Amino acid sequence: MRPLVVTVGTAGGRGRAALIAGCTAVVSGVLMVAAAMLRLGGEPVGYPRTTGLFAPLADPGTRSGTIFGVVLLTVPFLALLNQGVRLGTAARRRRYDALAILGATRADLRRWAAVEVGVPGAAGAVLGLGVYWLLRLGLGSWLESREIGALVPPHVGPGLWAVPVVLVVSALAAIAGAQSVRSSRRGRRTDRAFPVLWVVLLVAGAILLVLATGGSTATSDRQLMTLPALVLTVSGLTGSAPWLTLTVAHAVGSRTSSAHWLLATRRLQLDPTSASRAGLATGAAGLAVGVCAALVAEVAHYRGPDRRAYTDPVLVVVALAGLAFLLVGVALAVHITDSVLAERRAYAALSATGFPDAQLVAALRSEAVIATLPIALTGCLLGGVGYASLAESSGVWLPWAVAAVGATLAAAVASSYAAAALLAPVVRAATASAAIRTE
Amino acid sequence: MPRPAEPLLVASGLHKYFGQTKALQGASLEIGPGELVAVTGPSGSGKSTLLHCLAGLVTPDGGRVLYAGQPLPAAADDRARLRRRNLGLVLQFGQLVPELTALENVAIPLLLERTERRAAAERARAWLARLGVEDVADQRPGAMSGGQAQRVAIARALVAEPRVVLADEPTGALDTVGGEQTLAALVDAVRETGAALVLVTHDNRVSAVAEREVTVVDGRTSSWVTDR
Repeated sequence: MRPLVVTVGTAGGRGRAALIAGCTAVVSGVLMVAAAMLRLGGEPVGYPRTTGLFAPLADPGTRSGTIFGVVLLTVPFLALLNQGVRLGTAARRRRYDALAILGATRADLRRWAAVEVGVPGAAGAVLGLGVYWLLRLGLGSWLESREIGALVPPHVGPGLWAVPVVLVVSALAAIAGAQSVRSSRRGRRTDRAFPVLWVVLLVAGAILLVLATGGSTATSDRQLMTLPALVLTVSGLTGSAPWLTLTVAHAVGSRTSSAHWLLATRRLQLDPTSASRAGLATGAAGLAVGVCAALVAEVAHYRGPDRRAYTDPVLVVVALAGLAFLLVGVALAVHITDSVLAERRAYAALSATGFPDAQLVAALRSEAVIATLPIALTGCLLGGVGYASLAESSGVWLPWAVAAVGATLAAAVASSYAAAALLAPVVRAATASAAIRTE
Repeated sequence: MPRPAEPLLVASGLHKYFGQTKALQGASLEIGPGELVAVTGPSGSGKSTLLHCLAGLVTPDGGRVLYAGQPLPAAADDRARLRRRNLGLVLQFGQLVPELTALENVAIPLLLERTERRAAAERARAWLARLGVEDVADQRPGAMSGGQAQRVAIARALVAEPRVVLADEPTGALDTVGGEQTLAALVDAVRETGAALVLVTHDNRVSAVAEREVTVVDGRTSSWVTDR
């Protein structure tokens, strides 16, 4: 007979383990890229071409911002990891309740859950070395060999410095697993106080971020300030997101006469955390878009020879923000699918009573919109207004700010539509009459 | 009791296969306006499949279903609209949306018909009161007893005042006393509205409230019909 820890640890299924390992592999690999950039220090790097698209890495003045953007890239994958950890919550709750009845303590359950998520998470973190190697090969050595430049340092490691990255990502996965026991057993909350601590962290992070990107700050100080600023900002956004989602859901739900908006808002009011975490990366993407807009406003009238050193990286960041919105759509689809399948009998019964599937899909799309749009807008305003307020240039920033807000809102809505498109077939299957049980 | 001349809901010669399993083999049934009909039979005989065909939830492989003399619509959304307006459905398990309160669960069919929010809430509350569960109006299903949840589900099925109510083992998940009270509430409410009621059950105490009983065995409706 297999040890109990193995039996319980593999109960989540291979698909969930693969999703967790995939996410930690990407997070680990991307963090290694950031760590490799950090190891370049404050010195210029002499790549064959250090202007245009590849200048940010070569120029120590823009390197901290590049590292900031690279670390931000992990946010959508962390959100997807969070959804992977939460997959099958209803089944897991039943399993843990059964084990608790048999005498398992909360410490036992936490340990098993940590193993269930930590093992594939650690495996993925180690695979992150491969991800880093591939990124270094493709975006570092290959580009350098063609005298184009480099987006990833082509001659850095991975060495022993990669070990802490692997350990941190593995620990993160194990902690997320152990935490999932708490969320499984705690049940759902419908009340949520104003998150003072998280908002304070958010504001502190924003101030530090503005100072770090401000023109008067020395390069070495920027690099020192960027990472703590990033951690504070993302932590603040993460902690505040459920409250923001709940508040918006309450405001919409108390006014609507639409069946699908009512269903969407009530689902969010009962469990704002899962959806808001899935949509969290839109905050980071919005932040990046906001900063980019302010930056473009600042250099719009600049016609110097190194103009593309500023404008080309903006295109890369905007493209990556678009990718983040797409990933958010996937994370939301995973979350919503899981929550619908957990209550498939109720939704099948609702469908049987005449609630059209299209309305249910519309409800889930609306849920995704509420989970993404406010936080994306918050991020965009935070990035754009924060950066613009300290910019020394007298550039006309309002049109760019409006464009950034419009693009962010459009991207958030598009990611919600993507999520709805992904989950529509699952919803139709879940609400089929076969799901109506009779004994 | 003489059968009404023009039946409201008609199933004739229904066949339904699930893989190799023959769920229905020529089942037929007619429901007149205001009738109380029990469909009985052993487990696995095809009672629920027959009811699902009547409701348009399952498309039969053979035979046809008519509502008010017209075949059920082919488009899923049109069938959903027909159910919402004319065919109330009461099921055995887990019918209520867990995220919505009792009041919101009952109001949903009205909101789908674009009834104004306050008016929908008033009508939903009135139905909850008629079924004796007004006190759970603001509670979610998780906080209700099985009997309360079932009464809320009955209110949801009746709020649009359908002409036929289709109930699949409506008291199957309840204890004896709770089941009797819920059944009485269902029958009273249906009689008040003048709707027809089709009760699928394998419980003789439940079928005893019906005016007519049809038995399903091996996917076939009985050739004899009990008129009470």
